[in-house]
Amino acid sequence: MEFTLCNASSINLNFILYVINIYKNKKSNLTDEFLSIEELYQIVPNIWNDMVGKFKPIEGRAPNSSFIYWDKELLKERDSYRILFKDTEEGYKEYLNIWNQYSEWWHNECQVMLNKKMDEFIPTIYELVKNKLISNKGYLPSDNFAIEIVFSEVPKDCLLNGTLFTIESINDFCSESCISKISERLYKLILSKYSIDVK
Amino acid sequence: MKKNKKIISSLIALSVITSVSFSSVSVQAATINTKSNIGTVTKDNKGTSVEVTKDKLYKFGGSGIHIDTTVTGNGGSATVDPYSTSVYWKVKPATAWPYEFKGTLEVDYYNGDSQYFNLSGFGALGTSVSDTVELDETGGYSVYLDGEAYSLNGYEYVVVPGCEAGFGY
Repeated sequence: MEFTLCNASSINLNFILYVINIYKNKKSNLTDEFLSIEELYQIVPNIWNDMVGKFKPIEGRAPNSSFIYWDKELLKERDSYRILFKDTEEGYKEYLNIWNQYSEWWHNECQVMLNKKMDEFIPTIYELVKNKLISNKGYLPSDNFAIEIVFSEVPKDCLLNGTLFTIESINDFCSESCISKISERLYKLILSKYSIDVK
Repeated sequence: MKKNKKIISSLIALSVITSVSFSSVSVQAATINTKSNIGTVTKDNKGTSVEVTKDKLYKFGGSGIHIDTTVTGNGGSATVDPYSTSVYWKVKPATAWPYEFKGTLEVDYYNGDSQYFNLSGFGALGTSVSDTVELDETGGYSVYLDGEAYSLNGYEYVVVPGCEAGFGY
């Protein structure tokens, strides 16, 4: 196994952000199907951190198999995201409407945009992290890492990385110094995984 | 004759109750498999009624997950972008010379069938090679790309990292 870096964009993590954005846009105009903003913000970190915690590396055919499998498995449990809405028939109906709208938008616009942008940056970040590992530590780990891209900021109290991936907002890919910071976060994650002192 | 009338009136009652139940369910009802929505059938002195299981009246739309992804390693990068009837692939080998790429794309349909494609192409220095293959079948599948690139000066050989993606459930 060699050291690889994948770009990944979880349909599940991004859905949570999509719902938060809907709540924010509706603000004081939240109808009966919705929770209060306060209730939503209590639930989001639990659901998010639970999702991130479910990631497990698997022996797949490709370096990115674990990330694909993880997202697919989470998708099977998407009915559980109904707790982001009122526990009523109308709340569930609203959830499904929003999921279906999101699914269209995700596949036709958002995912394409995220991956197009990431294709430019991933090789650069890979080189930055690889060079830093070689010059500071003298070796490369034999593991497959990923950067999980989300379309807006990660909410407060939500994990910013899993065991083999960091979670980055697309808005942070704005300049060379931003790329350098993103690389640094990935570098630190790699070092922490192997319990190596961060320099 | 009396017996027939009873049967007919029961059937009418059943159809009325069923259609009333469905008429209260927004436009989504058109997409419902009615058999799976029928919960319990009860009989009493007023006739037969069918309870519609409400949770099943609404459903997830869309054709399912569609994951496109890029993997970058020592040998360069590989991208797979799956669609319902085709797969787009792209590789950018890490060679310091123009190169020839040779690879395979394996499509494993969730129904158990598989399809294989031999891929090839020439690329200038620092550029990528890409193409789209058309699939024989529709439905969900996982797809796997791997391959190698040889520099045209004959001195370099790199293995492009494997890349997996999926379409549908």
